[in-house]
Amino acid sequence: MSARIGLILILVALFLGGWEFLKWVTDSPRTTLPHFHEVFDYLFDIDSQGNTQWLAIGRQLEVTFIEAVTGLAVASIAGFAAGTMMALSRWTGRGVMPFVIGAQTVPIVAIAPALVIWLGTGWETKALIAGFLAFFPIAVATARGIGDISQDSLDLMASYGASPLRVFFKLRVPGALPYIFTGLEVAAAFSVIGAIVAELPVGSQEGIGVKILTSQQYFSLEPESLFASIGGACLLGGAMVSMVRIVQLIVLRGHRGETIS
Amino acid sequence: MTTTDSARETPPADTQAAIAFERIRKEFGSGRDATLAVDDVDLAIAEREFVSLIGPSGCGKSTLLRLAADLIEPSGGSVLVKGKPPRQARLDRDYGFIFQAPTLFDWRTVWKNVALPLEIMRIPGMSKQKKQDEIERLLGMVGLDGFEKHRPYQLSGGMQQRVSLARALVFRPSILLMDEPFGALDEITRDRMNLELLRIWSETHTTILFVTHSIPEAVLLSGRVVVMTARPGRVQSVIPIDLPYPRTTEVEESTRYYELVTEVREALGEAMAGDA
Repeated sequence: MSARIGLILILVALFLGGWEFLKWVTDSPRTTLPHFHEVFDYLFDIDSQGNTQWLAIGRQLEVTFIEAVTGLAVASIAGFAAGTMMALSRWTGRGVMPFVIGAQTVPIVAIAPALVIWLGTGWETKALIAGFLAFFPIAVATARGIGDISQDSLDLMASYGASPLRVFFKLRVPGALPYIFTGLEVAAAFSVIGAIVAELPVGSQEGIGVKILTSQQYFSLEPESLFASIGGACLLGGAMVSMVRIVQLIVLRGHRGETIS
Repeated sequence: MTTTDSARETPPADTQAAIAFERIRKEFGSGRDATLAVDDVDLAIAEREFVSLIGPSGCGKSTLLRLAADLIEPSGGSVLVKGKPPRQARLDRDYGFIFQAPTLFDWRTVWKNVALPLEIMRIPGMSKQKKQDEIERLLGMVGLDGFEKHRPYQLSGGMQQRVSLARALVFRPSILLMDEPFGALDEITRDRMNLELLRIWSETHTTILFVTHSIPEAVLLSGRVVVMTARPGRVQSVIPIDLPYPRTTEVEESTRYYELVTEVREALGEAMAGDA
């Protein structure tokens, strides 16, 4: 544990050192790359509404977080269902597969503006796009896990005269959980990306994506804003993945290789 | 030397065979790629008998076991388990199957692994308390008290296989189908498991059909050893093992034991020669 904290401290030090070194080597002015402490100080500045900047960024993150979490939840249900169908039924598998492949290959960044035009700039549209991106890794991981059960285990259940439903809930689902959580971790990161991308088209009012966009427009006046917003977005992604990991630790308690460290 | 003919012996009329293979044939694949795994096997195993199937790899001994278990279907002939088609016997939970790999569920504790069959089956007249007592008794019998809360991957291979044995016994099947259950274990563990199995067999009055690669194991355990040829799997000979039960490791020092091991080895040699 202390070794891990030490490692984190070293990584933070390397990051900050790298930042300042880069600024020094390229001799960048504040309007290209501010000092890290300037970005940090910016968080405590007061904005036009009289709030501190970290609070303002936090509010935007909250909006994006809700979009991403909703998207992830919907994608989990849809992805689990689709993955199960792909694994268990060759027939429906064939029907579902093209859609899953389609979901993966659609360039979401290009489609997002059209979706916003059709469905409006509400948070639901963004949650939908976040979920769309999160769907694929969950569906594929579920299909892998549900399908990848040893023949002996299936024979064992057959020897008990177990119904398909029993086999599903007593063997396939618990056996697939480690796979599914791996998919969920990737999906959690994707859902944040999806939500931010969905916020970028003009017309959106809220979200960290909007904040990043406006910060970019006013970059020469206030470069710290952009970096602070990007940092916030990174934290959000990390938080989403950590959330999935915590659920995983609880659900997979006792599974092979799952120890709390 | 006993010949193939004795394989066609049926048990006395008053005792119904626990398992009866009749002119059984099993082909895998179809058309040109078809391989004949088992051909024209007649074999009857009496109630409470301990019969071993031995033979070179690919002789179809596991296939016979799986046919009896209704895990695969025959291409020809018939199998009767307790006078019923295997499917009915499977649905009636007449047999417990033990695989070469322990096939335990990693996400379950030892206790919950043994409880698995009881969760799936509805066994009339078995209260929750009775189930718990039975699991406790079986874990004691296979020498695993104190390991109830362990996970399978925390146990040695021998201990895992003992969990699998307890799990197969928990719903009291009258037949055990064992597919090289101790094949992956080291010699010492294997010897101990064999003796435990003999004890369990005599205590529980089960019929055991046992697939093995090991001649000493087959002779030590069985009342009859069925030697099979490979491709297609046929019964080469059936050798009765007339060593008195209960048997202990001392049996392995008797002259008769050596004679029987030699007899099985020779029969196996003939089976292999026929293969070439």
